Amino acid sequence: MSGATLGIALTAASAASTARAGGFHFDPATTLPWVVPLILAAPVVGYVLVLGSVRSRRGAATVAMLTILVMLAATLMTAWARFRQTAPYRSAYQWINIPVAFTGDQRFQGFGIDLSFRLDHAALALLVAVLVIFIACLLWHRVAGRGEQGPVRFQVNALLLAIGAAGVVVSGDLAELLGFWLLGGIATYLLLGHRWGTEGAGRRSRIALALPFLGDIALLCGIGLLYSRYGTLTLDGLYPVLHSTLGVGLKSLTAAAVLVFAAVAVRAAVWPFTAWLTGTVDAPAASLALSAGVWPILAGSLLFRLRPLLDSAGVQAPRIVLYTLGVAAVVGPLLGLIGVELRRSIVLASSGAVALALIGIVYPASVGIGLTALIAVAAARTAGLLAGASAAGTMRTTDLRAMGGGWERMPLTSAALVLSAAVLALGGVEVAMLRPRSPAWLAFAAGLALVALSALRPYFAIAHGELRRRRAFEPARVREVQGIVTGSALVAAALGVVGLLLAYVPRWLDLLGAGGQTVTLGPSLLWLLVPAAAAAAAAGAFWLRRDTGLELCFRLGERYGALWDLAGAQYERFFAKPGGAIVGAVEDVGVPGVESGVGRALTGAGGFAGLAERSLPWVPTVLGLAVVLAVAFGLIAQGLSR
Amino acid sequence: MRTTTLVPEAIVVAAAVGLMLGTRLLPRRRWLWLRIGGLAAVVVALGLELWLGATVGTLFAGGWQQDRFALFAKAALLLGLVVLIAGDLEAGDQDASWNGLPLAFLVVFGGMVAASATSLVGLWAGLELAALAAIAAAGVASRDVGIRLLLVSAVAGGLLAIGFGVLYAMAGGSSLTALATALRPTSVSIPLAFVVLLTLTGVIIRLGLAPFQIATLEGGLSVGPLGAGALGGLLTGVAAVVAARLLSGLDAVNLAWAPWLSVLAAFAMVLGGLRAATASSARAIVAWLVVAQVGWLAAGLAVHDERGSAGALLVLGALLLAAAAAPALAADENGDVQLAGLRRAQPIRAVALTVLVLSLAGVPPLAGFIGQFAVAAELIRSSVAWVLLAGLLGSLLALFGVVRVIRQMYLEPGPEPAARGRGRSTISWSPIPLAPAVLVLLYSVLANPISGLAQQGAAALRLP
Amino acid sequence: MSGLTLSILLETVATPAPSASPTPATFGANVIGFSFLLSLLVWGPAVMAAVTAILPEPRPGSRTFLGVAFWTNAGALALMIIGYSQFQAYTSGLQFEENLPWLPALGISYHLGVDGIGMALLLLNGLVGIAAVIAAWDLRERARMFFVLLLLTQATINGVVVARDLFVLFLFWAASTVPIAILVAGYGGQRRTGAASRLLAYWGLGTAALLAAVLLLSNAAGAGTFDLLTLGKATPSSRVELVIAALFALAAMTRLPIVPFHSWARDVYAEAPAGVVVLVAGAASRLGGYVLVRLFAGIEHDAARTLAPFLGALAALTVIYAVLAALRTTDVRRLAAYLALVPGGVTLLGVAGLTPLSLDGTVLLLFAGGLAAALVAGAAATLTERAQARSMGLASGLAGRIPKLSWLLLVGCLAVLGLPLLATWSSGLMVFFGSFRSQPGAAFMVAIGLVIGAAAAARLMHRVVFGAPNPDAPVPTDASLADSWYLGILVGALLWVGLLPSGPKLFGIPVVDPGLVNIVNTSTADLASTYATTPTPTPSPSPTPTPAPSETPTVSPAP
Repeated sequence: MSGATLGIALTAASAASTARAGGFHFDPATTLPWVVPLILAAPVVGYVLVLGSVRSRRGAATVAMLTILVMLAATLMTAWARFRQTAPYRSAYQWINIPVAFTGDQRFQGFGIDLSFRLDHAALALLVAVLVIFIACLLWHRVAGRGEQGPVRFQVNALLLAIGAAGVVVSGDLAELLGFWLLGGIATYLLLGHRWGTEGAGRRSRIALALPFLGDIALLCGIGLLYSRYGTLTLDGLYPVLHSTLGVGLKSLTAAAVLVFAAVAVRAAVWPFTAWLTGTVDAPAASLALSAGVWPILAGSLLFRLRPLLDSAGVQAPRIVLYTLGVAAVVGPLLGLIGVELRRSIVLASSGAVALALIGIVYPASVGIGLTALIAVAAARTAGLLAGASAAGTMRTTDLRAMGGGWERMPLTSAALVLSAAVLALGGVEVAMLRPRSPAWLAFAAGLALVALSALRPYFAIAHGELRRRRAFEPARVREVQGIVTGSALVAAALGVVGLLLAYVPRWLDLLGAGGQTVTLGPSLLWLLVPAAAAAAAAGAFWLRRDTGLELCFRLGERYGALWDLAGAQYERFFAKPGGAIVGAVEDVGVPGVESGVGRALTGAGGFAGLAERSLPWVPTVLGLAVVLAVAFGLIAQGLSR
Repeated sequence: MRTTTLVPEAIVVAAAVGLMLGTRLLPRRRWLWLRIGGLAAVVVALGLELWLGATVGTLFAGGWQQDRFALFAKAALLLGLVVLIAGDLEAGDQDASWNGLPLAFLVVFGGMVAASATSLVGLWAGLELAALAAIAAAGVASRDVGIRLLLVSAVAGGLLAIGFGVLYAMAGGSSLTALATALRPTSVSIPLAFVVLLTLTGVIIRLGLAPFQIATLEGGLSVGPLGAGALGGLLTGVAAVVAARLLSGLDAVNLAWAPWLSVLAAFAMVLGGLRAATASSARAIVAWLVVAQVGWLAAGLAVHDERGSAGALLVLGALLLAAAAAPALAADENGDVQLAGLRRAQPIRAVALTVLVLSLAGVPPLAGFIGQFAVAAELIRSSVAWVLLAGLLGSLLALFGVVRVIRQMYLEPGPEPAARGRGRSTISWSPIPLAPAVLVLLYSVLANPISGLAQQGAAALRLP
Repeated sequence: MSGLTLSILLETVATPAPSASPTPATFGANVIGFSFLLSLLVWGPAVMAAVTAILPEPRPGSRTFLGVAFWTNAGALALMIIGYSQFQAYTSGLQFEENLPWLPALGISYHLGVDGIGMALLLLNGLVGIAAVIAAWDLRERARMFFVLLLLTQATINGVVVARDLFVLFLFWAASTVPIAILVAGYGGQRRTGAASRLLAYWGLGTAALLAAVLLLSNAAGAGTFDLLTLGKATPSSRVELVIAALFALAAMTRLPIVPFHSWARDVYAEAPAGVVVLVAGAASRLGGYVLVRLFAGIEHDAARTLAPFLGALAALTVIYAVLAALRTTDVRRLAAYLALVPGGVTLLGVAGLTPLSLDGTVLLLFAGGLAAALVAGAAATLTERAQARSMGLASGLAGRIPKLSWLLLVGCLAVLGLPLLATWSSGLMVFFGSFRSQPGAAFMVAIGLVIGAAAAARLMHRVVFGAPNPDAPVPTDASLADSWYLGILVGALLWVGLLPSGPKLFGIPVVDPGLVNIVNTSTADLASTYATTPTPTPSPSPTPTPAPSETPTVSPAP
């Protein structure tokens, strides 16, 4: 039903793009030369404005929101103008373009990096999703983020992330993409770690900069490897030569593909790379939601752009990617069931859903659906984190055991939570429906079930748990937060729902132009039973054994934490300490030892010479030396002369 | 060639006699005028040498010759005397009873004789005269040191006399040309090498090349600045001149002495640097820097060809300018100059001392560096890179001493001006110490004509 | 209307494609026609040092000496900028050349000149020089000597860059040692004597190696000259060439510095006053990289190929070792000092890469890395001075209390790691992309080192900037105006070149700045032509430089 409505809406939109309404004629294509650059220019201007001249929190929030709205308008205008065109819109501005050699292989005689735009329908869709997530987080923070230190810091860092995110999605040049990717990384680090005054903030900053940087550097290596083989950095230059260039073996292609995928996996925060999000859950809620929502889309966009690389890399690379994502889809949500920390549970549960959506992008049959599912899951993850943060703020705890009574006291927030959980649970179903005939479906089944289970757990705990009285906390005072805060979570959740439904609309998938098949209704729909069964199991378990269950999760969480501590101790014992000891031995003992040894030897020699000069009698010394040297060298000279 | 070419020598001798008589007849307060007069005489002699000495020729039936080598050597020695007198003027009257300045003139005169000598006799006479005068100049300050120096000098003189005698017998004549003709590479034998090396040892002791520096250096450290300048500066220059002439005569048998001289040079460069880095007093650092630079000079001579000798002559000029004046600048009436705070107390002396020690250490772009670079290039060309390595190690070590001296002078607070004043103005602006510094800088600026002259001088030695 | 504005705005950032045809720099051309510009840049500071030395003692508290040094540097920087804007890009020959016979008897000529590589380094010296002077704003004690030595050092650094005769180059290279050593020994922190001794020892070692290499090369050429152009054509035996190249590399590695010759840098960056740190880390140490590019890679091609793997290994060792050492120290200045070693390691990787692109990136990284190293070490020096504490235990949680310095330190760390918006990114990218072809292992290891470096930088941020403040620590004061200016100059230069490596252009015409990349690349391409790869048998359909797509969409517009 909703699919049909959407189809009608899309048809209307396409008609509008060629409308001849009375005397007025407006061709949106004429605006592209300045509208497309505006997508990147707007956040830059906004960033400079907020950083340079805006001092009040409200002013910064307004400028940031206006900037995102201008970006959204520019994106929608571009989408309107390019509605009928299946080929991507390309536009490039040279940033570096130099001849580096006058001889040798023609491919390596020059080097260039363009500020290029490559906007196809998929990119536009991803960009819209990213901007909606931005709007939701900015709205939430405008009211709920009042208490934070540094009035304009969040907006400044968010706009920096907006620049990076938009750049990653629209760029058609790999070096440019890497640049924006790293820029987004810096912004994320500043969002998650830049909060002074607490010890935890510092620790967060380490995790938030160091771990994702591993993926970023893997991306650098992957792109470097591709350039070193093909001598080009533009996607349009790379695609045609991936199969045709002699002298480039599968090994190189596999290595490049795996390196790029490492970047995708780390930034999408799928298991085992979830630490940079789970370790920073007590960062400002809007920062966490923004990072957790935007990065999966950026990672998916990168994976989508470099799918041809996976295709041309033989069987190994896709296999590695799929197995990794399969494991992530199962283990992530499984870990999400452990522990009672609200935000951690949501992040881990959604990491499984993200992994399933990424699997969809990797399978040729389900690329379009995978992208759509990714949009839905990312939005749902944001919605869940925002709503969860609202509830936690009102209930003054993030411990699922102590939360509850959501439906009575915070119905809208609970609605956002349940929508988010539903989207996360169902996000992977369409992908599963298009799975290839392979045992991989087992992973799908387990993943779907676990995601549903772990995504619904926080909802049940918050919405239907029992909100008990605690010290200095009166449950009766708990009531729904302001409309704008709830609304922001609902906006994100709505985007998730739309994304979920769009995956069933063949017209949308054609429009997206990402390739892949559409879902054929029939026995495939049985896949819906997996999350449904998991949801039923979760509900049953909750109502029958709520307290015991949560207590068990808590204990498991403690065990898991202890396990991590043990692992940390082992790492400290077997890697960190020995490494530090080796460096310390060289730096504090070895090098100074050698230096002071040489110094002492020279000083000692000098002192000895001085002693000899003072103590030796002049005449005998001179005579003795003269004779000894003369005899010795006389013999040498004789030897030399022969 | 006319005998007017001898006017500079005559002026130097006359000045020496005049100074001797003057110090006897005039009261001490007038001695300043004597020094100034002596300085004027040397400057005139230098000017005349550069003018008249440009004419190449011989006198006394070939017993005395004026060539480019003689011109370069005499000019360098006279310049050394100029800076020595300047240093003496700055240091003031160190000798309670008698002034040794006339003896410094005699040292230079000895050097001029040796520079123009064409025979072993001339070399011997010039060197002995210079040595005795220098030892006397040092001895007037401290008699027991003078006696010990005399003993060592006697050993050196003895070695020279015996050696020259044997060489005379082998060559059948005393002229260096006859010696060069008589000796062939094939005539190298253990006895010959033994004799040659002992003879050269005699010269080397005067030169103060390590490990035979003990007398020159230790003697120089324990006498007044003028004696030290005459001993460690002028006499070293004279000995270098004699060595250059003698080695040109012995070039045919260089197999006998070149390795020995290379080893001694390397040893001197390393030891000089090492001791300069670890020495405590300003005068000791200066003295050891001189030893290191003498090593560079010897390394240039050990290459035993024209370009090597040219490099050695470049070093000789720089060495004389720095070594003759530095002891006077590194000492004051209390012995070693108080380096800490010298920048405030005697700014001009501090600047001059800085320039001199930097030049002695071979820091670019000063005179010492240019000479050492020329020698280094020849060492590589002659495939004796190990000597260069030793020299580089020595220069590197010397840098530590130099930096310490400069740091003390400029960055460490000295005693209160009242404490050092002794009734005089607390800050001395005497411009006299600038003379050697300016000459060293000029030597660097005019390196092109000077190196050209050094080349011509080396060519005059008729080496391969 | 807004479209036009936006187009102009964008075109000042990047020129619209296609405009692959090189555009020579026009700004400032023929404003002045110095025939002695380079001599002025070398001897001007030296003369002003002499003037500073003989100036009468000013009244206490005045900044006379700083003023002289500042205006000298300002004048030099102005001349450099004019020279830079007059510089004819896209030509590889020498410009502003001066060639006079100096010591013909020794085959030595006073030959100065700059190509793109030298111009970039000269500009770096100008920027770092004036930053170093401003960094010494608060210096009151023994200011005369400080600025005399500072100016002398700058003269020698400029001399090395513009020298085209190896004797002249060596002369300035060696002459720079003494003034810097005295600066460190006289004005440093508690361990200044050790720092100065190490500097003397390692720089002396490098100087000796350079002298030996220069003499061997001149001897091998047999031309009786030290002129770089002639010696560049020398063909010594492979064994001698290997020795010469190894000596050049040794000389460079003691300056850059590269592990295991790094201990002087660790101590100097951690002990010397900010002005000296900025000058040494920013300009003096970059001369090592200059020697690697100009002499090692530029002359000894075959030996360079032989030694490249070792250099690659040393580059990886340097980066990884430096960041591991940074991870374990608790002294803020030492940590920053270790981080300041990282650009040197990446520079060495670029040389080890020995591809035209990696060498091009190396030259740019000499500029950017110098600024980054000066920024991180200088910011740490100023921050610890303002916080009156060096240990992370005391100097912690400063972001809220001294935000300016905290942000500048953060930017320094990001610059060292080569993150976007800053000049180190584009140059580092070229180094990596170039090196992945020839030294993939080393490039990968250096990349791993950068990841650990991120952890070390994050640790610094964690404790010093974003962590919890120590209530027992002394009350910190934020950057003074002078501090902000000197660090701002470094950040500004990093940002300018990072955002506009090709210079700002309006409608394809260079405005103000011809673009550092354009200035550098032709000379580097000329120098690196020997290392260009041989063509593959099948021509690839992807032409480079980047195909210049049209600004308008390449598909048919909407009907």
